[in-house]
Amino acid sequence: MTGRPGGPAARTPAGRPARATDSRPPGRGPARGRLLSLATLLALAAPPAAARGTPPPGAVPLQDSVPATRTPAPGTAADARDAELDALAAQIAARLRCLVCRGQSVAESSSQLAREMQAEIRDRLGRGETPEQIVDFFVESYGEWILLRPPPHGVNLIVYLLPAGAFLLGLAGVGWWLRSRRAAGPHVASPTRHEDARDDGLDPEDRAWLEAAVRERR
Amino acid sequence: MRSALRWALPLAALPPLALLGFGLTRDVKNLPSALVGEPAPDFRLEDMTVPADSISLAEHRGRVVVLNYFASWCLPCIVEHPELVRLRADYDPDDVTLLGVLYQDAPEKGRAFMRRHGGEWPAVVDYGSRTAIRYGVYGVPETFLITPEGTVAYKLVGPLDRRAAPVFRAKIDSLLAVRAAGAGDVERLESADGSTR
Amino acid sequence: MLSTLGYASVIAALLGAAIMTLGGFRAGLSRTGGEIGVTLARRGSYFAFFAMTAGMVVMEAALLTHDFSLETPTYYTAISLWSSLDGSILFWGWILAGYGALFAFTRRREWSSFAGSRSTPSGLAPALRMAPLITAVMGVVALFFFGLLAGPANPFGLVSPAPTNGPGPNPLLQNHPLMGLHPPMLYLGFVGMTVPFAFAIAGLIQGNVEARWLRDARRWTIAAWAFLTMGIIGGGWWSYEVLGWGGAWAWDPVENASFLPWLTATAFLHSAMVQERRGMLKTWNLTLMISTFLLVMLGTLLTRSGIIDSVHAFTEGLIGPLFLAFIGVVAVASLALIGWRADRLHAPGQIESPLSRESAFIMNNLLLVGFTFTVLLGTMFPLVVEAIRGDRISVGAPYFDMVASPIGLALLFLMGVGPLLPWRRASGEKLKRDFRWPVASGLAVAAAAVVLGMRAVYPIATLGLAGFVLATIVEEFAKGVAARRRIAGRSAPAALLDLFVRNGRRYGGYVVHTGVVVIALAISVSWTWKSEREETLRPGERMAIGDYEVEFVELWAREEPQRFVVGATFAAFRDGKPIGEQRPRMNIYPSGQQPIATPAVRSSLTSDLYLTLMAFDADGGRHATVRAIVNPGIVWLWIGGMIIGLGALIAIWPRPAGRVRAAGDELLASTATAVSTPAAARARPGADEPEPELAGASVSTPGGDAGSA
Repeated sequence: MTGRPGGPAARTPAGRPARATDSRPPGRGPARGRLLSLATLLALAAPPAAARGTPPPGAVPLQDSVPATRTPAPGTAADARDAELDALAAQIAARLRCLVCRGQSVAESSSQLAREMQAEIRDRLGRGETPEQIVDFFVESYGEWILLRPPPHGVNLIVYLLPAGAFLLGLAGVGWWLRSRRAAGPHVASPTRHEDARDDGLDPEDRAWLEAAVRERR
Repeated sequence: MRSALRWALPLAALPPLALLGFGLTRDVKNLPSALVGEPAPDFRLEDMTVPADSISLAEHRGRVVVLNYFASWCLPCIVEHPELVRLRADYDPDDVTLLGVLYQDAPEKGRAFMRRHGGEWPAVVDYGSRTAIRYGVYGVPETFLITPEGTVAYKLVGPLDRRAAPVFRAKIDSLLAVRAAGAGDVERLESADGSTR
Repeated sequence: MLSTLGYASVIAALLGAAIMTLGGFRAGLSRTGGEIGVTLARRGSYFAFFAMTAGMVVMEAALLTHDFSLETPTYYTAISLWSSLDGSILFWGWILAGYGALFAFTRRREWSSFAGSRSTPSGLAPALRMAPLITAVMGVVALFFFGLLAGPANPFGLVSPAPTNGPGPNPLLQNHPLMGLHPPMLYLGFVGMTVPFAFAIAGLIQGNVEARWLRDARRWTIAAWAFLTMGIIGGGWWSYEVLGWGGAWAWDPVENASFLPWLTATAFLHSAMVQERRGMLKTWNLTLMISTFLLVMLGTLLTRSGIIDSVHAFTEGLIGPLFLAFIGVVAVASLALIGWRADRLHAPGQIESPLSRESAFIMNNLLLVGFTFTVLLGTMFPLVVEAIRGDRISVGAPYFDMVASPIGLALLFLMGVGPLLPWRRASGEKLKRDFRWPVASGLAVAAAAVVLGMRAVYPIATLGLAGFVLATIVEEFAKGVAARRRIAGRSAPAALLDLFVRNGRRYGGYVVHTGVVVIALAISVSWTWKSEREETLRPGERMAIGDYEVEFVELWAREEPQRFVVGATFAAFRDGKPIGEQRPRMNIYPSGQQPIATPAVRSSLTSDLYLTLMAFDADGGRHATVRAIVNPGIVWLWIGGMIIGLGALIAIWPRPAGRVRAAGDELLASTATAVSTPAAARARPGADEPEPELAGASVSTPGGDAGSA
């Protein structure tokens, strides 16, 4: 793992991946119901300010375009194969880029489209498709852009080979630099004023004091 | 430092700068479509106005199809709507089908949208965005131009407004011309040997 | 009225920048007019800052009094100044002017005291020319930014007809008070890198990068670096608290843009020590300082111009090309300067052994610069592919994680090994002794990790190395404290304080390393044991995750001045005991955006419970769909960042003149032969003269060799 602010590799959620749920507009009801209906109306009537109607990251549109499904409560006897497929779907979703988010994967995103894509993945797995087939399908629809890691072929290979190449080049450069210095002649004694070969934990002032004291003693 | 290296060094800055300059010239927000030139995925979806009915894309084979993804919560869709109304009026329904696809929205809201903003053309409801995903849609509005043979000719991302309309219409016109020319060929073939092809 | 005032202040700032540039170059380069030049440089710097401050005040006044911001809470209105493109350039310009004025202020004694006495017939003494040159270079950068403000990026331009209401800040920017802190920190860091850049250019022009120059350059860099570090981590914290996906770093192009200059600045802070001790790597250090500034500018260009898609991108007509032009000119000119001066800067010396502090620093630089190159490549690669074959691709987190992990491990390793290696060459025996305990600690921690359930290689390795590095740091502190106690008879706590006060650079550096280790630990632990679950609940229903339980209590809604909020209350339990309520919500803004979900986070030192309201159904059934994430140890990421800030503060804290030091210095100064210690060097008047080794001579010391004094 990194020692710098860096994200880890694909996360695998321990729970079930999301099934889409609905938020139906409220009917008439008490005051709170009216407030909530107002909220829903506002959300639906108010158009987004973006040049394109793309929900910003983390946004969840309030509409019931998708029929409701309840996620099974924990502890119910869920098919072991089901759970396996869920986990596999999550892995596939983690390889795909959420289209309306800020570089997150489909697995991480909470946007409507991401959840629908997760459902699509899960369905296709259920129908027997392989992960590669599913990924290919998304690439056919959206292009290579949807893959978070560029597929290693053709020009893309550059991004995989160049860093290693750069490191090797750097090592070679350091080696050349060392050799050119060595070629400048045998070891040149050039202690600078700040030369401090001993590193015994003394700060410079203490050492100076110590040396001065020692000299005084002599 | 050797003379040559000394003068070459500043030049090393130029390729990255050129790349950045290139970057400035293009619009990053619109994803080019992977479907252009490919067969348009067929679908059969619930009719937005008559839920008991369904509409399929294959029904409209032989006509130019303008497939318009929209939603009631989408502001640019309102902006482009008058242009779509004009489009519908200007082209013969036997030549051009205008078909709306409701995206991430409820049918009654879609119907209300059409009532409020006018225009009469069929629309379908894309539950779960399954069809949208197959078309590579990631927001609304997006409009696809499909040839009479069922190939995706063009994808417009963003509203089909007054700026985008001329280009779009020109493409429709050229597709219609190709269709007409093709029909002309078929007629000539028919008349040549008296049989239909 | 306000518009005119604001624009006038921008013009005034432009004038100030011109004065400080001309004055600085006059004093730094010409044979006459040193006194005038310095006066102009100082006054120009102060005036520019004063003018920009006036501009900022006018801008804030405009924001806060305009009718159409009435609905947005005052705090968010005030900080929306830097949310817009023009406003953020104004902010940048103000901070730049501030750094210029601060620099002039730190040199005030030097500049007021010379008054003709030290100037020679050929102008100012060489050492005194450096500071005006630095001011002049900063002035050139200021001219660019103020020029933008006076032209294409004018924040005071009138909009006609005046709208009765503005759209308000983007809802994402109103959700969290951290928006008030993260950009200023980041800007203080970014803009602060202009100062080392000015040092580098001035040093190149003069052909002189001696000890005092290096020491000052390093201090300014540490300050800017500290702000940058905290800005970056603050950004991660904001992302975690606001965006709702439960993570802090996504390798988004904007994040990468802020990370790149951080990497090269870190490399410089380390390789500068090689220059300080051995006189080597001068050209390399200059390259790093200039690259850091260029990367800052590049990052700004990328995020603001729409070259790379990001939430920060605005597509503004002229600013992008102008930025690119400025970067181009700076890059070409700097490379030319380096080509011209490289020979003069060369100093003799060798790396004597691969087991030496120098080697460790060189490896450190190789890794950091390699990392910089890789992140830059990954970020720009979609652009490259599009230029070559017209296709759009993505380079996302999986790629960067893959690359970052081994580099991070290697850097962790060096962090432990480096401080223990002596300069020039290490003796095998001493090394074995020094490393015994840290290696044992590292292995023990790694074993403990495996016992606790860690299975992935990278986290286990990280933990092991973290244990190793921490052990070396503890060892260093123990040695230092012991030495202080022996020499000065201080008690242990006082000795520890002494270490920080008297050798802040070294021990502050150790504190910084500790902070980095803490961050590495937090990332590994959180990644390994993070769990996530999503459920739809009815009121009263519970969901279990980790050692928490979450019970849906109720849905609610309320109206706020600037938005409408729908939320759900969840009661949280840990190990069966109630620990409070959390209220994730959805915010609906009248500007028409889609609702924004705000997560509710309960943090503790051991783990975070992170709830996001995904959907709700307000019908009679009252369902709520909640996604719960348990994130162990994530809080230590932010704590680690603060530790780093603390360490940097210790490192640049000005040292008090102590009695011991003064006595020692007098003694040393009175001895005939020079003793090669830093304290002696600093105590000598005229210490800012060029180093002897530049002239090719070598300083002879009693004993004639390094290693004895």
